[in-house]
Amino acid sequence: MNSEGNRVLLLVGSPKAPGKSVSEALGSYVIEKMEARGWSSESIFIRASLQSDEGRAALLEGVKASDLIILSFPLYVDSLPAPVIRAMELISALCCKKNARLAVIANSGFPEAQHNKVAMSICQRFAHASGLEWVGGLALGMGGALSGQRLEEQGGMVGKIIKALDLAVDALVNGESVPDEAIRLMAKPLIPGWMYTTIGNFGWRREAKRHGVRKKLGDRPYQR
Amino acid sequence: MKALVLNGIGDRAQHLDRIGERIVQELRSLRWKTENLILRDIEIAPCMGCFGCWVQTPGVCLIDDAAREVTRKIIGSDLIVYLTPITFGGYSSELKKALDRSIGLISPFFTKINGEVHHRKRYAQAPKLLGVGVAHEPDEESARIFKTLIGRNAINMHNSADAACIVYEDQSATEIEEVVQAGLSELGVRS
Repeated sequence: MNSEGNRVLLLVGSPKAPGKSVSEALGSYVIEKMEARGWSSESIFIRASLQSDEGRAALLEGVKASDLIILSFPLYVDSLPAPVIRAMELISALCCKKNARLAVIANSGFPEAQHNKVAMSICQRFAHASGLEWVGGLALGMGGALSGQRLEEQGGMVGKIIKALDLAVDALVNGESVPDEAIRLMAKPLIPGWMYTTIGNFGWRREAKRHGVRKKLGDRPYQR
Repeated sequence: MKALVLNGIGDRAQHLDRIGERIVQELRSLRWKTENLILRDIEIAPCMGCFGCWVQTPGVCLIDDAAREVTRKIIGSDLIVYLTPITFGGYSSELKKALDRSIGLISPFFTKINGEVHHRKRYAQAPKLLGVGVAHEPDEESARIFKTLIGRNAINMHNSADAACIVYEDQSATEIEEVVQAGLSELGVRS
């Protein structure tokens, strides 16, 4: 596939500031690799873009001008964050570029990648409703083990993720769907599940202690 | 008994509010004290994913807006109804903005449920959950996703029981009433 003139848009679904989210770290890696393959790119932070008329217009223009949209988001309550759903509602009401494609990257704080399954199905329905070709999604568990740092700077633990994203990029630039091997690699646990939950539970206590509420973690402020 | 309808119908579909009104009427006829919250009229900022509601002010979101009161009402209810246009199989952004801000109702700590990791309960009892999805036309895949989402939410939020039903925009009041009644019966709210 000739990459000349192709345009990829990264939609960052995390509400966090630039440089702070796993969603951005994962999506940016893909975008940079595609730029290296001759694609032009743009990144839009959904929450920020919805805060003004200009931002909403830029979001919709960005979508309309793109051949490939990569939506990278954190799992919120088994689904996508509210601002991402709002963006989807807006996008589905407009005409996307002919033959434009959608791929997604979902990351969940639970150890099992399967928690992302419903959100993936929602993205697929969104693609269908918006006239976008669904080219698949990568689902990651243990997102809490990662940070907003550039992926290459996050140590050996992310090796499988990088391999999965590299495979996805190879396929996407050739006009193909995200390959099964990339999906499988992305879903593989980064560390044993018991270790992730033990470290996670320790982390909640440490953070609470830092804020002086270690003994209030189980509070029920809205108890009837 | 108290019920709370979280009405996630958006600006452009206000004609669907009649469905919320039927639900409220049905619950009131069963002598449930019922409140219908029209979420599009309530300013709720997006969740920032900071986990402050878990580790800074446990159980209370750091953002001081109406979502705190909505969250209080959710856990203070015996039944909550998610009323939403089925949006790509899931919830509308209006409903989701409130749900994203309610995770302080559960604990940050992990536990296993049916072999899968979830968060522990914060409160001893969470309300029953009825999902009412409004569809423009029959769409099996979207209905399947919606019902699965309600079931997954019920596991994560520790709802004591859950059911999901689909109504169609062009259904009559009687038809809608029958579908909602079936959902309430499944939850044991209606005999």
